[in-house]
Amino acid sequence: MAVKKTVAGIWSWRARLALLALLQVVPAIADDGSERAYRIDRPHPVTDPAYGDILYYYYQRQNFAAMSAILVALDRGALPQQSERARVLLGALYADYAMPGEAERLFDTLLAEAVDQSLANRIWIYLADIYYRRGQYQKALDILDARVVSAPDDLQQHFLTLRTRVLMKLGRYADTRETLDALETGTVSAYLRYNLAVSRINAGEGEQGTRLLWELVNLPPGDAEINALKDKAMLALGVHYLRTGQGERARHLLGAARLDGPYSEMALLLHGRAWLAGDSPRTALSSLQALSKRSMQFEEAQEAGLALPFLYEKLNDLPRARDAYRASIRAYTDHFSYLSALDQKIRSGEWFQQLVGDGHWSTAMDPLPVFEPARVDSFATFRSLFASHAFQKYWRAYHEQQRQVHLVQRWSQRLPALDQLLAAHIRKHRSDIPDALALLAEVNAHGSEQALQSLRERLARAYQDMNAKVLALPQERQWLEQLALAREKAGKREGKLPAEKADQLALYQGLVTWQVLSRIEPRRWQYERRLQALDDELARSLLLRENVKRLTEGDISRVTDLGHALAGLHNELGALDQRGRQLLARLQRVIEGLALTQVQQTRERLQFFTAECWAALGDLQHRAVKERMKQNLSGQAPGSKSSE
Amino acid sequence: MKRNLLSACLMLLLAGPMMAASLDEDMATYRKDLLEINKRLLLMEEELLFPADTQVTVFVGLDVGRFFTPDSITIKLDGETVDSYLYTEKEVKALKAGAIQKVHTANVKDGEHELTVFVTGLGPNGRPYRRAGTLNFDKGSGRLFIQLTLKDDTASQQALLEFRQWQ
Repeated sequence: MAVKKTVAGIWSWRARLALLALLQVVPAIADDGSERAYRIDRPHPVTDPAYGDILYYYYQRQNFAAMSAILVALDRGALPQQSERARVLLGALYADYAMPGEAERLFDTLLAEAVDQSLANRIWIYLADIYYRRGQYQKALDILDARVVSAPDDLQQHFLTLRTRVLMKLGRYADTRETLDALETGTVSAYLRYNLAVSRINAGEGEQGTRLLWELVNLPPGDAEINALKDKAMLALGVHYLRTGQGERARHLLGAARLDGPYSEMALLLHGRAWLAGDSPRTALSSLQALSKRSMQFEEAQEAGLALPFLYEKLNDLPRARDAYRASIRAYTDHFSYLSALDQKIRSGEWFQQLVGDGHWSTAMDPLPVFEPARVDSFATFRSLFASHAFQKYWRAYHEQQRQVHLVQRWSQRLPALDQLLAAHIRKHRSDIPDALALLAEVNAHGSEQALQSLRERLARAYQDMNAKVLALPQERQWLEQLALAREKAGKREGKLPAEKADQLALYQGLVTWQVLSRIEPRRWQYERRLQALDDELARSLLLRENVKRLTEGDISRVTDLGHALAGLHNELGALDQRGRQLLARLQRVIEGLALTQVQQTRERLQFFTAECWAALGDLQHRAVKERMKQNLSGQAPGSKSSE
Repeated sequence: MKRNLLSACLMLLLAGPMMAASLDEDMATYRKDLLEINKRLLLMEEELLFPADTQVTVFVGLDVGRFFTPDSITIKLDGETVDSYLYTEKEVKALKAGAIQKVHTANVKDGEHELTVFVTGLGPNGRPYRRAGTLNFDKGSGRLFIQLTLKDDTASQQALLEFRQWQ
């Protein structure tokens, strides 16, 4: 009788565990949904090409590359028109990248700068999400209701999802339902519906909760995720009916549960429990027998090891009950040994290495690799752990951290190449700069500006003085010179040369001078044009000289700055690599700690189950002895000597 | 004694979440530092590989993309093939959503140059399609950006290549 009480106690304890497991919200999966909702992936006008380049990464879910592209573009001033939009996107990516503090700071700055209302709406939604994740539900709701004027189209679903979650957390279930109904149907909506149902049942609103669960159960078959959620909803309904004493409804429902999928073990156990609690325990036999044949790694199979012999006992099949208790003790002992070995494996780091495997880290910008549980032998042992929010959070963080360490290593490998590039720049600087400076000095010494100025002055004087010699064409100048020479010679031979010849020379000279001076304006224009062309050339030359001068001076500081920066980067990368590895080790310890906690809990449960089996066996033995004694006593006729 | 035990239990209970919070904060700080150093390295690498005075960057974008789905792009600069690129489905999707790809960066001297782009892909009705376009540009001092847009021409139901350049 004592054993029965204990087993019944375990059942109720187990039932509570099942209820807890089933009637719990599912944050891990819902969080995935919210990550998807961060996307701003509707086409919108791109005016800055750098912004288009950012979107090129963002639309491919290469968030790290997108963040880097935004930071580079902002640093370079390459976003003259879309910097606010890019910064809002950066904030959203920060929040998505588990940097809520940075995101909040950036959003506060943007709001203080009074951004455009459509961007402000976006920012408030992201901020509300950050507060929700921090557990500041009322603050999140106040923002969603008071600050968001209208949710942008691409964030509409995210807005509704977030508001649903916040309202649910605040216990405002009627409002939650209203918001939930406005949400598009899909996986996220189904999970939220399940969470709302569970929250309402736990809050004592069984009728409303079961109605929601039935909606999920009656969903048309979908993908593996939806089918698993349908199963879960069905089991949750079964648990609720069992809990509220509606055994018949529970048995009917659990009889229709699927026997494959992630909840099949739970379905078998609950089915067994429902029938065991009813009037015909024999019907529970098939479920418990099926469950006891499954791996002892499943918690439900461990429990079946205790429930099945109890059922035999209830059916008064005591020899089978005895055998089953002994078989369970052996199975528990074997599993206990397995857990001890697993414990060692976890502590030595071997388990974790198996779990991580050889990841493919071709570039630092790829999306995170998918977790492949097939690589882990102990998958079944940690099935619930792997599905937990805590594990998923740190597992993703570990992968992300590993990628970051790889990125740091990649940069460390590339630094020598950058060193070489810088050295080439320095060499070029050393050879080119002195040449350039020498050329500049030579050009400056040439005095082109002064020469041009002198030419301008000469032209002005010649025009003012009507100086035909200066304004003459080369041929005319030659004639004028020759005529002047001839007249000079004629003067020396005065008296010998006929007078008409001297007059003739004077006439010719006058004619040529007339020819020149009569065209003085066009001549002056021609010279002015030539001087202007020279002026333009000189301006170009000055610009070139300025450029060369700026480059020689700028190059000195540029090369020096690059050299200093590169030396600093060597040290910073080294420190970052070390910090990254330390974080990896800490994350590994956290994940191993979660696994060890589960192993310890399983061991305690197994110890408890084993003790109960031994107690039940002792009880059976006691009953057998008592019955034998009773038989012996009843078989002994009064006065018989043999019995004595 | 009982009080000590209670406070020890409380400390143990609080230690887990506190450690987790500290780890979360440390990871966030690390990520911030990594993004900052990554940005500086990217800027420095570009500065060393493509100094501003000689840099020419070619961007590619799709305008709507109803009549053309790019498959590959080949870029020739002054008659020499300098880059070829094959697009993945995700990249095409990103381009169709309005993103712009920085497809090639090069160093060129000041003066006149010729850029030729060949694009292959699927045209109207899923038929293989090939377009080419040439741009003669004058490189001055400072960075030069060239944007190639594959525009939908509703009249001819074909894609047109359009170049745009700015400093």
